[in-house]
Amino acid sequence: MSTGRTSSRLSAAASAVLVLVVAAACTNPTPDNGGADAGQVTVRLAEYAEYATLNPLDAMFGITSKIYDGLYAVAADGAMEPDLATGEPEPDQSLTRWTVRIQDGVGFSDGTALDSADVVATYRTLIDPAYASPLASSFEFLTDVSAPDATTVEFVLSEPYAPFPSTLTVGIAPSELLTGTVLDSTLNREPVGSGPYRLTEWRAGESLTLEASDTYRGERPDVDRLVIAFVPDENVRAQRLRAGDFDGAQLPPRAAAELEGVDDLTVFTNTSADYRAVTLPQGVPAFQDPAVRLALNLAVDREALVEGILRGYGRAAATPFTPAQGAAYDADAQFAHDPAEAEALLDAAGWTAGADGTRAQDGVPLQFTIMYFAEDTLRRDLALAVASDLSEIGADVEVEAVDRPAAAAGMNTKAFVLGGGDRPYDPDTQVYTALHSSFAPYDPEDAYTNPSGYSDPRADALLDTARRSADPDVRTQAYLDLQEVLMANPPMITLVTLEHTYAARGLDEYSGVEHVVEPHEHGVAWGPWWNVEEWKAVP
Amino acid sequence: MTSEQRMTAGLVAAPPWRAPATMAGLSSVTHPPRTPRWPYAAGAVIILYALAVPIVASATGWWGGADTGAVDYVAGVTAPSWAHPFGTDVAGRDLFVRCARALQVSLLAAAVGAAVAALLGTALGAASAMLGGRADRILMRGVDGVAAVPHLLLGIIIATVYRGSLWTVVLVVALTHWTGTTRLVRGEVLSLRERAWVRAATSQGYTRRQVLRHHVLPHVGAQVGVATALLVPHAVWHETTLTFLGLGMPPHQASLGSLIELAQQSVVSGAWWTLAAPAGLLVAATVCLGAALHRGARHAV
Amino acid sequence: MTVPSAARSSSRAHAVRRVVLRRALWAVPLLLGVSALVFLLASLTPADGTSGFLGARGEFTNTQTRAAVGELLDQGNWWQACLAWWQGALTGDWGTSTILRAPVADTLAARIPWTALVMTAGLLLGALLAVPLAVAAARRPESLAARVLTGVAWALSAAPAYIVGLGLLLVFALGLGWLPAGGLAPPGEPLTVATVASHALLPALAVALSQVPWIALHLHAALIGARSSDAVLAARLRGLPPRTVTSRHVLPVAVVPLLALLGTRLPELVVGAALVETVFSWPGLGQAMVDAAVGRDLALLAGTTVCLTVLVLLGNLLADAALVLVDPRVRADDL
Repeated sequence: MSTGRTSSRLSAAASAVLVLVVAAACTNPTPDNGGADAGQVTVRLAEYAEYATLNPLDAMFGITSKIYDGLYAVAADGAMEPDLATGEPEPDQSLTRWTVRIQDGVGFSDGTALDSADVVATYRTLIDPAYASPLASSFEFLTDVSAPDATTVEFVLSEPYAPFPSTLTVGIAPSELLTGTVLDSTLNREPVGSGPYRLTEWRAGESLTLEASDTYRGERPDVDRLVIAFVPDENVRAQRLRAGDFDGAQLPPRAAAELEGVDDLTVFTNTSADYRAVTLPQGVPAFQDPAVRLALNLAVDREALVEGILRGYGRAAATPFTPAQGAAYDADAQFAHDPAEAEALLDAAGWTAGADGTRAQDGVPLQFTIMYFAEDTLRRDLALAVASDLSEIGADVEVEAVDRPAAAAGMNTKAFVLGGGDRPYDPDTQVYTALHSSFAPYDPEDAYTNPSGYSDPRADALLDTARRSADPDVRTQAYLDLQEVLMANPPMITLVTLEHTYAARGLDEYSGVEHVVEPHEHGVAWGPWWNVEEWKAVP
Repeated sequence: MTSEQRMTAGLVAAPPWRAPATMAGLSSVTHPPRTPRWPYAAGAVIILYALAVPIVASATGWWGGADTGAVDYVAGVTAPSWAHPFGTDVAGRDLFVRCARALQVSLLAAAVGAAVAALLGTALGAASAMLGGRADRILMRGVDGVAAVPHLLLGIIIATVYRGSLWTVVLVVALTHWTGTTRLVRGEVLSLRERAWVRAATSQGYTRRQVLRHHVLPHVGAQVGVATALLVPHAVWHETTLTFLGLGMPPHQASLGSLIELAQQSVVSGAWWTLAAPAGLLVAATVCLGAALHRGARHAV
Repeated sequence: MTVPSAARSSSRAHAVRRVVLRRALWAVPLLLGVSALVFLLASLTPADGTSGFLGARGEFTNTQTRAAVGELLDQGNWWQACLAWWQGALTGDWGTSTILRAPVADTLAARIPWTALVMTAGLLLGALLAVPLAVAAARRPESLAARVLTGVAWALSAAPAYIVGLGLLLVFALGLGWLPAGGLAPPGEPLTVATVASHALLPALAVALSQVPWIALHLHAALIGARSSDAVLAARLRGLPPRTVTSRHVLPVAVVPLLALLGTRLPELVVGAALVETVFSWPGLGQAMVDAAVGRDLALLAGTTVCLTVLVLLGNLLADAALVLVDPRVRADDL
């Protein structure tokens, strides 16, 4: 065999492969994104996952609020303030007809004007089952939207619903683009809004870039560009932040705590209405006894959860009410960690320890499983810690990792580490579906509402009173009374509310950096950057 | 002939049961003529560690006692010490005992998966060879098809359906690794069929099944046993990988994969031992068991 | 030996064509089978795409909304869904990803080049690292250096690619700060060949290191075998210098099994790339596939699976075609 010939064939093959590599590198889209122009201010952030969509009908808060304006917006410390609206919504006597007046002369980033027809189209599409917006859940009472004139919108509800204004944060999209479904809408990847920023580049799987919009009705932001990279691994996020790749990132408490004071990084925390609880479903016979539910609540060391798992970034909670609910929150409603009292309660109720140390009453063992979402490390840690605490007072507790379908299927027979607080800006949206007995019957298609199957007539009455009253004082009092009921007859073991933790640098170069109350969701559209468009550079 | 078969046909001296990425293919080419004895000793130490440490811990209370599920997040990670030779993890659990438990679980999942793969492979291989003709051709095309898809790719698809338990790992290992055994058994059976004593049995009027059971399978058994044993270390690798991707073992269940996944949280903040212990064990177990098994296999065959 | 005649090289080309044709025919049922498996297996679970579509919001979604989403995603039973998917795929519409809310074809088009880049670069880098090592070790097979080399290669082959990747990340990116830790380019900067190359280096190195043991050990064995072959002994007897013997007589013989090996290593290479991608937040197919599996996104899962399988088949084919070209002993009918 001719070796010279062989090597030349080999080198030919090798160069063919090389050409392929180079071609692969060169044919990749390298769109001209304008680069970093001199004098442009860029803030680079690291997000924990790629956004599924930028469609405002698929994501109510967060990143879409940078691109879109809603009728109302979340403001500092969790208040609601008019955004496109010119004032508070005006309800009629029955709280079923609400009128909102909007600003004149607002334009979308594609140059078209925003008027009441766009608002009507947005909300009509939202409640259209064919469009399949996941946000429709928040608008089950909305039956019709209409526009008497170009700057007035009227909402018609099927029931009196006092918390309605807090739901009007959905970003308004141009009516002509609200076609198709939430799955294939062009708005998913090519958003057109009236907000302070517009999308200029989206590198699939890697990052996206927002730039200040020229058509924004407000003052042009001092921060011209936001670059948001998707970095799923929290360690990599933390270390790249430290290395100077980013100006900020959302980080879990442990990772954030590591960065406090390192170089020029600071930890920024926002309070949230994001609570975690262990459900106590009525399908477990032991949980039908209120004494058991109370005893289990006393047996959990919540301070240890806050210190050990949340690294201090959170607080103990006894009910789904959190400081985010303002005056409606009763700070004194707390369970002490008292295992001795818990054991005494159980003894008195006839739950006595057997030979193996597990308590039982009339042959019914105090035995159950706690489910948690397999991919959620926080819930895993909470489940393990709660199981550990409850074992010490004679409960036989197993822990099980589940995916979402399995969680829904097991919701009436197994305890579950629940997350809550998706819409915290009114106490009603924070707690109603978790506690009202109308949601108690188990439905695998609707497993997360009232997952314990809790039913207490006093609680129902207070929830309904607050929902139907226009008087803020009446509502606040009803919620305070409700917390008393929940302490005496706990629906679940509410564990903690989280503080969302972020690490950032250069925040002191701006004025206007403020705290906000965050919902269940988090990410770099929250944190200090929730109002980045209002930041002013300090000269 | 597919390229994988060609590999096994002598261009490179790899045994015919070589699954890609098993130690088997490597060992045949890397063992110097005088194989050292250390793999036996090291393999024995690793097995002993996995089996004995949890028992000793629960009997004596050493190393924080048995791994019962009690956690202490406030204490959290502590560095290796006499009380905790491998340190503790983020939940304050002793890693010396927990790693032993993890090794048990991973080896169990791997062994059961390998055994099921061997059973499946033997049944299909024997059936293919004994049936012959069109059935044989169809079956072997199927084998080529499954073998052409990367194991992990197939594993991820399977784990999509049955996510998050020991049985996921068993199923994935079994359903992706039967092809090697099938080819091996088919080849052996085909060659055995031509041997004089098998022919004699056939000509005396024994049914195909009887011949298979009494004359063919016993001879194939040793080969299959070796192939299965060699698959175990590779299956451990599969367990850790699937679990690392969040598709294998449940995260609270001790396994090498879940320990490595958990360690990711603490390792960057300096708790190197949380990763070093399970990852070191993974490498040690794969290398030592692989070498010992292969050496044993060479003596056995 | 004389230079091959024109007739011989045309028969080689003919042989390559036959290999290509046979493999292309074989790929059709294989791809159909793989995609059918995705849909079949997914139909066996109680879960559908709805929970993946809703993601974290699933906890806060009521019955009516869930039903509307379910209706939107409904594709009929598994073979109807699979057929519909193939019908679309043949016309360029690969369906819509439920977790990314975007056409699968767009996602694949954006990601395939990156996966191909890391894979090929990793393979080349692996060969570049492994070949000199193997040659050096084969020179004195009994020396300490050769033993250390094979020992290290063994240990390395037992370490999964993601552990290798994590190690590289910790040392070179986070510890020493020599190389970027992830992504395609520094945040906010345009993609250029230079930035992409520097960002691809660590993932490619991780892929390479997971391949080095295999290439090195097999080449090492083949070199030792080739060294004792008649041709090499004859060359030595003729008094050719050792360097010439190695480069002209030993290496070419040993390269043939190496090429065959590269073909069979491709499935593992693809898998290694998928794992490495998740560590380096590299926007390739592997990461999309894991996400699709976790989110039960059938269209995306089928799309990525088919693409990865095609990449594997293509690689196999390239290796075999190269084999036919370089080694006259290999007949096309054997492949």
